[in-house]
Amino acid sequence: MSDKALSYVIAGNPNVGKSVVFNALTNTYRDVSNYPGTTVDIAKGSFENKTLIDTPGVYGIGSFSEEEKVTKDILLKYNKIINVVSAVSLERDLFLTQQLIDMGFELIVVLNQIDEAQARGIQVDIEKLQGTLGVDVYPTIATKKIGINHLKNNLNNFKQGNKTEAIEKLSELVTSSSNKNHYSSKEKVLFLEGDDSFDFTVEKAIDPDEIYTLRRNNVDNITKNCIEETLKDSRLSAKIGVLLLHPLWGSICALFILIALYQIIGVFLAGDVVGYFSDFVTNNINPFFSAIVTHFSNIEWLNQLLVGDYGVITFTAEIIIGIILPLVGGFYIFFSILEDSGYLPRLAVLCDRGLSYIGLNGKAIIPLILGFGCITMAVISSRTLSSKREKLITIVILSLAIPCSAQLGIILALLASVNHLWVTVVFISVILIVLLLVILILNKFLPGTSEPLILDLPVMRVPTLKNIIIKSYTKIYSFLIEAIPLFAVGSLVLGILSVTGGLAYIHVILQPVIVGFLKLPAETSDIFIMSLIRKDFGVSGLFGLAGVGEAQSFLTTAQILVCLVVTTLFVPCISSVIVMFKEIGWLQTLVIWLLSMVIALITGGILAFILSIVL
Amino acid sequence: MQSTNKVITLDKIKKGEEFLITRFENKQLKCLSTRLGICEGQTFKCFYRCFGGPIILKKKFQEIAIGKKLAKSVQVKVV
Repeated sequence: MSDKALSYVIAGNPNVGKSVVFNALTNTYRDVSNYPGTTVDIAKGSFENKTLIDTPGVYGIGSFSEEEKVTKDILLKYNKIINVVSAVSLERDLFLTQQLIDMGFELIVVLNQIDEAQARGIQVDIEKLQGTLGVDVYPTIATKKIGINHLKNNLNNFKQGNKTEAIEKLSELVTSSSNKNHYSSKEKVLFLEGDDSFDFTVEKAIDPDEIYTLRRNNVDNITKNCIEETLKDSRLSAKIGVLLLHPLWGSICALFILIALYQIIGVFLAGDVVGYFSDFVTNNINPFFSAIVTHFSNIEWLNQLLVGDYGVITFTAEIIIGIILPLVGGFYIFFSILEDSGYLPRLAVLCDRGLSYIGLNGKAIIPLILGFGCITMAVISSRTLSSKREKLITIVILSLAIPCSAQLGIILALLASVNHLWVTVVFISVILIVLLLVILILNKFLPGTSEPLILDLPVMRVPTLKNIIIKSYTKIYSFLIEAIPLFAVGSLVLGILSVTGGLAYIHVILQPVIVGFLKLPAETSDIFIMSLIRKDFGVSGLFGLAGVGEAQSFLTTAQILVCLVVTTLFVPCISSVIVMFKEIGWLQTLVIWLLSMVIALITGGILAFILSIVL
Repeated sequence: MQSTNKVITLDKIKKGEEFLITRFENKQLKCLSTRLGICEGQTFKCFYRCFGGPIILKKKFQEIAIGKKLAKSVQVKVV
């Protein structure tokens, strides 16, 4: 059998449980969130001898966004679709179902979230729905694995459904303008809907809106016949949803979340927990590895490389287990709760007005907040933005001024250890001023304006503990898998430089900039070299120099402030750069990388100069 | 009070008002809205208005936020 016949694609609207169904069928974990844009990359898993492909959530097949284009391209390669719909929003979701049927795909419909629908007084007549659509419909509560076995047992019953009659007739009028008749009915329907990537002509001009309206009328008739509703709309979740959109209460809530983040990550995790973990590494893990290495080797330089000050084993363990793991872990647990609750799209609506002043719409808040977790992940999720202009502005903000979870935790801990409010105020003000200036320049000179917002708000839900644990674990695991090799390479480079005396030489070369311009001790050069690999790697070095948790600091308060500003604005980490290459091309990535470095150093220099006068 | 026959744009609708969509001026918005189940000739309720920002329409349990700029391109009639 061909690859096409052995592959099933999962498609559906956002927030209907596609990823949960994918997880349940394949026993592989796929990120599941209560907000659009979780699945921006394509996941593959296997079920029996079949390949299952998960796609980004879309409301229809077309070219309105990057996600739609990705989904369209995948769907056109295959024929069998597992279409996941939510029983809560069937009227909306069946538009995509009917579009897939009109295009001629073979379908199985998974009617998910039937428990939520019942709680809201929605009853779906499944027999009638099957009859009207002409395809099998399987009810499920995927989060509880209810209905999954029945679905698994019937996962071969793909059928072509009942097409919208008028659209079928219109697609018969479409002919290939280059006399090629190999185009499929799928492509013909897309052409009728205004997709101009096909070489077709049609006997009479048809407005693409007309096709949409015909399909919508058909879907409305189906839902009218198959759904019985006694709506119960006094749910607490609806009231909380409104509260979060209120300019005052919504802002207070956002502020409360930020304070909670600071208290949990900046004070508790970065202080107490990191202290405990660091001590554990210093007193137990590193002596253990040092003993093993020195037992087998008496070559001084090799021992230095493996277990010395910048030893691949000891330094990596110190940073990863001692500092990064508790901070990243804490952030992802916290963020998972926000994701799953449905809070983020409401925050997008709340921020829409403010973001429109800087050339973005409210949707950009999601990649920006994701950036506080991992910039690489956030750059990928900027695909959910509909215009290239917004994508570029968002990526610049992410690269320049958003610290990732590891970096944020260290910054918060350093600010807490300095214990002067003015330092925190100056740090935040400097970053915001630089960011605002860059955005204003971009907004003025990049052609176009901000894209208007249209966003479907998911229902507010209480996150499930199981999902939060699995999701946080998966994200922490992915983060570490990505970070550990880079940290190890970074340690190795630093170790080699240290052993060969190269580090001392670099200190001399960088002295005019580091000592002369930034007014920092020569040793801080290491921080900037480490920041070239990863920003959090750099600030981790700052942790030791600033003497966090220890009596002695090698840096003055002003020097810590300058270091924090420069490392925050410094170049994006290697993995982000790789993703940026893919998303916006090498030229723009290179410009952003160089500009970040120049802006970071100039800002740091100016700040150091001002502080030397004022203090 | 808004006149029941007067055509206005969606951004002028007040919280709690019910209205009939008469025309989408923006073709892309029309397509996106049709997918979501918001079509010309249908009646909706303004569920919420964010201060100076998006309008939230409600249809059963579905809440859809439309940015102010887009809302200016939707013609509606209060019912």
